[in-house]
Amino acid sequence: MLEPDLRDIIRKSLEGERAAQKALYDALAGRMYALCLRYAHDEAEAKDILQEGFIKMFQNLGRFRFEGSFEGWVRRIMVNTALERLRREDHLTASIEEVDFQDPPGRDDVEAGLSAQDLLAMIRELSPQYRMVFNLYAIEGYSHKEISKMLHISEGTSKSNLSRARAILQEKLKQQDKPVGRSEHGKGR
Amino acid sequence: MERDDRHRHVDEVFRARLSDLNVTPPAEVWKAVESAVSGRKKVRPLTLFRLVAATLLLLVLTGSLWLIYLNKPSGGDLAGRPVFSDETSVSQAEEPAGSLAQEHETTPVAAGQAKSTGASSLQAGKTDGDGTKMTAQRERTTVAPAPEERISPLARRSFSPLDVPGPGLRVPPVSSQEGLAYAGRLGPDNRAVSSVTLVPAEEKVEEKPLFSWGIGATAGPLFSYRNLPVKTEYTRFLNEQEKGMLSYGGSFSFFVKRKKRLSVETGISYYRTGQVSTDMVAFRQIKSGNLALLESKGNNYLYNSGGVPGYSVEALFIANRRDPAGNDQTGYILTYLGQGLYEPVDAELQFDYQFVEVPLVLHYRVIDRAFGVNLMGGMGASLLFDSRASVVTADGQHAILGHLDGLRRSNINSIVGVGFSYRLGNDLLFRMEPVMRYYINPVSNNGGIEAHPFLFGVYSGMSIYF
Repeated sequence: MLEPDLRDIIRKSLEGERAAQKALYDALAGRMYALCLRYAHDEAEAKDILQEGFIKMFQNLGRFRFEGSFEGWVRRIMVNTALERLRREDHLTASIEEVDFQDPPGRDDVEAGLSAQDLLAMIRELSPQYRMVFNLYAIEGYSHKEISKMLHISEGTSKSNLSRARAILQEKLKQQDKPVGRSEHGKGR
Repeated sequence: MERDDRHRHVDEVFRARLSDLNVTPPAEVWKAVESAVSGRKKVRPLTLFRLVAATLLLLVLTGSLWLIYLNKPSGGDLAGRPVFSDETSVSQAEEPAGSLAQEHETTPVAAGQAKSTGASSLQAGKTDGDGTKMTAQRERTTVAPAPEERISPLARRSFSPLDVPGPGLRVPPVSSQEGLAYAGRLGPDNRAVSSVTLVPAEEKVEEKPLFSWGIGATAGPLFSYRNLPVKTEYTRFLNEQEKGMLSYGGSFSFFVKRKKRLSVETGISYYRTGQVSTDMVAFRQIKSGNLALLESKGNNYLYNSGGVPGYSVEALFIANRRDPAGNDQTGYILTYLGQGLYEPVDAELQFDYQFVEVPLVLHYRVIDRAFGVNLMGGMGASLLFDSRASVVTADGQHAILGHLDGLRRSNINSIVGVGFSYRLGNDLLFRMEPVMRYYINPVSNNGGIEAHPFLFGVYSGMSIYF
């Protein structure tokens, strides 16, 4: 979406114009839902996060200052919403065992064709702690220091959770043996 | 090395496939979002309706009280006493039939009152000094004065028989057993055709104006606070984080006073209100010692909270230390500002709003002595004419950030208070008034926050009546 268009849509959304709000939602909903699916345990939870995140976005729309990517701003809202939700449901407050994880043996050529849906399913099978750390680090690009502050854990715990998550995912990848690009869920990019 | 590669490989597989993935969400999500967002909008007509209803109710109540007060029998000197009229025909033979009957509207009175009426009427008959025969059929009816014959305190004074203008028969004042005097009015033919009003014989009726007016000025400290309705995590978070603000206000007032107890105040008032966000962190340039303000951004700044992290590096210089989930955001922000360039410092974010108000306040004087007590109630129309956000660091640095968005300029507030006064002279009063103001409409219309601040002030000053 071009910035002048975006400004116009945001302004109209702030004025309560339903069509503009819908346009804003439509422009972002697909990618945000995919993000929520990564953080949530199941689709129902992902829908809840998406819904809560968009409500929060509309309620705080006046705070966006057009000084960065709007999508990035919304993405952060979604991540924070997922984080709040998991914390509220006590998924993240359980003590996380700091383990000195041994890397799994050998690397397989697992990159050979797995659908996004398969990968999503793998992530969602992770425990909430591992899932959150993996998403934040590997996909969103947060550092361990940032993650440790966000999740109230030590950097060491963040690292070990990431290693553990990677190992589990690598194991799952290894178990898959599917051709490339099938069962793509949604529009895909 | 091999381990790092494997890690990067797993990360890359997932990042490549998932970071820009687009999955169409179920339609029900938009419906729920739309409902929540539009639901917030729907509050407006209801709020407006309540506002209009409350204003109308207040006007009706105030008007009713005023009318009731105006329609009371006038004057404390006659209050509670019957006002009588009597028909005094000089000669029944000369009396045009029905002429007197049309003068008055008769009403029955209590037995005791009727008795005293009879006594005074009889007395009047006996002392009819010009020898004219009084009619034997003279009715001893009590006649309430017709509306046009209501006697104002000013009119009552000239209503003495001796003061009746024009030549002819004068009916001298007569003392009754109850100590009432006879007062009458003569018709054009010198017959006493009008009502007879009994007024206290010995009581001197003072002339007092119906209304008096005065001016006054007060000023004093006030405490303002807002407690947001908890609808979201964000509002709960703000409630926990905010505290009230001590500031000041004052007013120039104009009073219209009816008798001793009731008065209406209007004028113009000024209030500075606001709230303080605590537990903030500001970022100061280590090299220069300046707060990370952006002059080039003018009034723009980013107040970062509510799960909505500041995205722009440039604009971000003060933020909630914690997000609504309780996470400390300081390190996260520093990474955007650039490690080693800025240092975090404890700070508060102060929001202040300046209003001018035109109040309409009804005062009822409960205690009317040298020391007086008033009950006060009313409404005010207030206009927000300036707002400001500023940051104050724990070590005393202060910087104005700019103006605030998303505030209503026109507002309606209620006013309730108690006024204490001490009479310093005949018409000079010292006043001290603890007063609470509550904004009926939400002052903020930003981000779904419905702020109805209240102000509690103790104002003192002087008033003078003319």
